[in-house]
Amino acid sequence: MDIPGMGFVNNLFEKGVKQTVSDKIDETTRAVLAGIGVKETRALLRGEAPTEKPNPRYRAQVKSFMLHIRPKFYQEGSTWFTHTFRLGMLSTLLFVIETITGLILMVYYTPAPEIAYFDMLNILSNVNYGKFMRDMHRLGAELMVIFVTLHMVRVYFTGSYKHPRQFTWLTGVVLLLLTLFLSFSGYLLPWDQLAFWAVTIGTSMADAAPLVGYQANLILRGSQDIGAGGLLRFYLLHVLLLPLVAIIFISVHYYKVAREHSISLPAAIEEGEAPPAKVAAAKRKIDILPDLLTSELMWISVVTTAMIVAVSFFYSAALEHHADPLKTPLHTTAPWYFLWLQGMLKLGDKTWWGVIIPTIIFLILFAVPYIDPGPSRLAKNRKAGVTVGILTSIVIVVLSFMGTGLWGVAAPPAVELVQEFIPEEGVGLIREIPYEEMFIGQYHTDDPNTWPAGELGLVFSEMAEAAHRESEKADNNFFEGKMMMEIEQWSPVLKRLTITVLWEEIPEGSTTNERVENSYKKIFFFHENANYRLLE
Amino acid sequence: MARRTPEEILAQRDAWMARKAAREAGEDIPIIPPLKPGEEPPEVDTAAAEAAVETVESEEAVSEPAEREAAEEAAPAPEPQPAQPPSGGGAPKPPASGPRSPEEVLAQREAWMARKAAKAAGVEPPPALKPEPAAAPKPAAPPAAPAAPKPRAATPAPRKREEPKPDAVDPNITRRELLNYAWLASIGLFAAQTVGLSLWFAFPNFLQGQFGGEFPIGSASSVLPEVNARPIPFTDGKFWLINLDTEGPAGEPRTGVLAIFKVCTHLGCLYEWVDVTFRFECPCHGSKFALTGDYLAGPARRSLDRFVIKAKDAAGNIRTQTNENGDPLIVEPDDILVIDTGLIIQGTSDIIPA
Repeated sequence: MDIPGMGFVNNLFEKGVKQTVSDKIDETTRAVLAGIGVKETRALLRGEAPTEKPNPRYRAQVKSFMLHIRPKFYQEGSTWFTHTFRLGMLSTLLFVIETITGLILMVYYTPAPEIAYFDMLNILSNVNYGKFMRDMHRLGAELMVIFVTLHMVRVYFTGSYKHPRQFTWLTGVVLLLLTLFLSFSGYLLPWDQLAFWAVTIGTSMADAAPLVGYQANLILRGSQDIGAGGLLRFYLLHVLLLPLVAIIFISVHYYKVAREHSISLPAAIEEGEAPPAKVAAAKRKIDILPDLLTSELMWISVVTTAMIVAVSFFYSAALEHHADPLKTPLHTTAPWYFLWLQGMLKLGDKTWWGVIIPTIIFLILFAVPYIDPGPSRLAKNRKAGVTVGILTSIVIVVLSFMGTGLWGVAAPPAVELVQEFIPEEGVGLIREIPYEEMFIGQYHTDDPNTWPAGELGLVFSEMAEAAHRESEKADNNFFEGKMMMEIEQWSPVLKRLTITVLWEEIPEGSTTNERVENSYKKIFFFHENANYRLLE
Repeated sequence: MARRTPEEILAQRDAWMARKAAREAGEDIPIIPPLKPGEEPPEVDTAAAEAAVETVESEEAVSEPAEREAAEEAAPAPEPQPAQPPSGGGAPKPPASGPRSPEEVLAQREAWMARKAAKAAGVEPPPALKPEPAAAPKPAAPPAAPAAPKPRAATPAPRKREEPKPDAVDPNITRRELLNYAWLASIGLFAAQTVGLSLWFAFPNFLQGQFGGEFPIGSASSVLPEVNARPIPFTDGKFWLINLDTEGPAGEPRTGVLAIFKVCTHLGCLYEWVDVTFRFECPCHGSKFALTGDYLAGPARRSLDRFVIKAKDAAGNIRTQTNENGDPLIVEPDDILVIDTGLIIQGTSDIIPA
């Protein structure tokens, strides 16, 4: 009769305890590590040759699901840091980090307009490590957009989209689009002013599309305006549909890289422009186990540590006021990776600049391998392509600057002055001053005797400087600018701050150049218990 | 050096052995120095090499049986012994084309079958190192095995391929190995921390005023019911507030304040306070409890559960709180009472009759 475990007991008697136990451990290790036993693991970690025939490391790559998609080896030239900068691997790593932090955040988030913002406040203040997880998720999203774009730029400039990698490039552009949409759909979920208005602008661009714009807009938003339907649809996009499609495309993209055409070698190596010793070195084979696996583990550790340090000390995701469909705040702006689009929108008709031109740009991106079909990847043989690439990058940067609030949408100088120090959304210099240091009194920028002490005084001197700077500008019709600040104790726990801007201007349509005085006043309240530094 | 094909390897080897044999035989053949890095080996004249080998091996074939017996006794074999006998290891090149005696043929065949059996048994015998005891009977153990350590000046050591060495991993730890262990340990620690952090993240925190959190209800003088009067319900906190000065079922004193959980200890319904009978009665299955929370009758198996009451002074420090048995708490009139619905004490099952 075959009693399970009898084999083990028999071995105990026949071979002794030590031998049986070590055999069992070896057997278990082989089962878990797809055929790599204890001795072979040690040889791996020591960087020595395989201890068995056939090579158990290659066998592991055949038998193991986790390893089967990796190539058997890399050529050394494709692992040089200055060739790929590891950008493709880092993009995938960030996708994984985003998935993990996203799943964790889903524990505390409900995609309903009445609840979403308060869930955000809960995550930031009441959930253990909630702020940490949220900041990691936000930082990871921004880094992922950066790395994916840099990866595309690298592949473009090394000409690695050429035969036989054209289809891989195509899937890569799809992944770029997916990354941008993932980031955009997640942007709405906090349901604050930033989210609400950025997405309103974005979906209005969908509305501007010819022929199908109206329907596209309705499908995205779930109604004319962004509301409960829109939030739920964006949530489903962000959490289910786009990640699924992204996983499919990442799999196709990487499978082709790993199995079909491998990472490219530097063009100079492949096309015979390098000394033979370097070519030989570049074509040397490096096995996945252990060298490349340990290298990837190192990169994972470095990137994760860097993100944790950044989130702990330097980076904080902002949260503005609750979404208000009735008020669009000053300096409403798209997320930074869409600033180029916002810049283009300031140039003219929204259909042309918001839909048609971006579509043309992406179609050109898709077609790059066919626009530039020459077989050589060397930069000197692709002068036109490289030039176009550099010019496009510069244009995108310039458009992004145009997309910021600095260009073309400035409010009157007085409003901008106040906005600079107490913005409608965000913290600003004045709100950072502790409640106790907001000394009661009246302060004028042109009478230094009235200036307050401490941090308040420092900020006030900056306000004086800013007013002076605006006055010096030649073309803004703003002369002799002065600022006045009054702080009163409004209630035992509340202080009232009034900021007044006084200036002289030439009235519109005036024939003489006579100046007229004008003023602008705004009132703010500060509570004893408010803690603006949490959300800065 | 480019990778050589097996044929090239064998051709070079044979050429070398031919040169060695010729040198033993007295010919003056210059020694070819080893290749410098980047240098290609000179072309090997395969035909000449093969011819030389055949000569050598026909000599060797003649002397083989004698040599083997001699090897068995570990006696020095007759000089010169130029070539590696084919039976001694993995040389795939077939023996010389010269006529062999039937005994030689049989001996070679048996040696080959022994090697094959050894391979099938899973052990790859390193040539000339270990005689294989567990395999099929080999009348001629690899003769070179005992002969190789002998200082036979002119005999080349049997040429080995890069055989795997199962026992050859040095027990001393290398720097690379140690660092790999350290990094794996730190990654493992990080993974454990991530799991722990996720669990900590997922553990809910209850706010004040939210069930599961604390409920500050006011000062004792203002909020408590009359002593031994009907209890006061608190809906959000899901508890009854009771002020006692009486005795329990066994006569023990029950003096102080109780905050009793509104959920019946039977199956979870919310029981009612019934003025007429001056006790708690559950509408679902009829469990009945006294004002003190003690079980009176019905299918419930324990007395009512209660929350921890914290009596705080004006500064917010906890002066006293409910003990771990859930006994009523004696409070001062100006204590501020806080009911902690996150800390629940189960009622006793002692008084339930068997």
